[in-house]
Amino acid sequence: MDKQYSSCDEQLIYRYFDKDMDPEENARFQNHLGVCKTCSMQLEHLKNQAEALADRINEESEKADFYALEKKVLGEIRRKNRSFFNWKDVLFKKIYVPATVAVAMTVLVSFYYFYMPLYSPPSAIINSFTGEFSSVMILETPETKQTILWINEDESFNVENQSV
Amino acid sequence: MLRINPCRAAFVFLVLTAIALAPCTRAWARPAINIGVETILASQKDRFVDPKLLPLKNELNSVFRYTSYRLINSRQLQLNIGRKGTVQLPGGRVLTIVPKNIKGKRATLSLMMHKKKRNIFNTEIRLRNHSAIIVGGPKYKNGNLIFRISNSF
Repeated sequence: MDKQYSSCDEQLIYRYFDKDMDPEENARFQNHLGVCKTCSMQLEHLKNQAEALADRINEESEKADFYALEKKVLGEIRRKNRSFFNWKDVLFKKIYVPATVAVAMTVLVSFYYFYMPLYSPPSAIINSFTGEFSSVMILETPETKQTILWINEDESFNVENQSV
Repeated sequence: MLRINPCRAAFVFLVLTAIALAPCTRAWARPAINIGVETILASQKDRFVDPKLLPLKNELNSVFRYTSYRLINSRQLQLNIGRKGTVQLPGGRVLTIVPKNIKGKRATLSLMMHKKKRNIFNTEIRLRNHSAIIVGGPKYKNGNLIFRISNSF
């Protein structure tokens, strides 16, 4: 059989069946179907297969309870989500956070009671100091941190002292 | 529904307020500060430590090289905030103490030492409660005078 334009091409049969041809091509293929029994029989076979499949799908769809199925799927999803977050939530809120707070409090209290006493502030803080003196020293006793002001009086005070 | 008696509620409120403000009354009142001034003569001429100074001996020895500590005088003053107190010291010196305020654990004191009309020193200190400051240096007889100024409030 002479091939006309790409005739007896299986792909053309599928495209024709899927209505995937432009009008010109569609008309040409219809003319070919009029003269080619092989392509006509293949097209008919394709149509029968498609109808049988559609009938089977409809039959099964009518039997299925989509509502129950949807409910089952959603329930499964919720169950997984709940179980996933629950143990982590419990672990975080009821164990990690209180444990962290307890450790922080212990550290702070220990610091306050054990470290702070080691640091003893001076007994006196000097805001200002003026006078007639030759020199002044500010000291601190090593143990009790008592502040000491040592003043070397001006020599004129000593002269007056002798006269007294 | 719970009924609240207004009179009782007001009374409870007043009591709670009084309890809450009780610690503040000290601040509002003019509290008195107990101030002690001990005058000590320190020298290297002999070896002697006044029995009353034994608790201070280690502290003094940790800083000074004196071998003798004699307690010449000890005065106790009770001064309100803003009131002036004076202590006569050896060598014609006078120590004037004025408590300025109390903040937390420290009292602010103004200390002035003068001789006749001359000001030896004038200082303002913040002294911790139940502690002391040691002021020393003025020459007297064969040693130096040390003044231990303590407070409590």
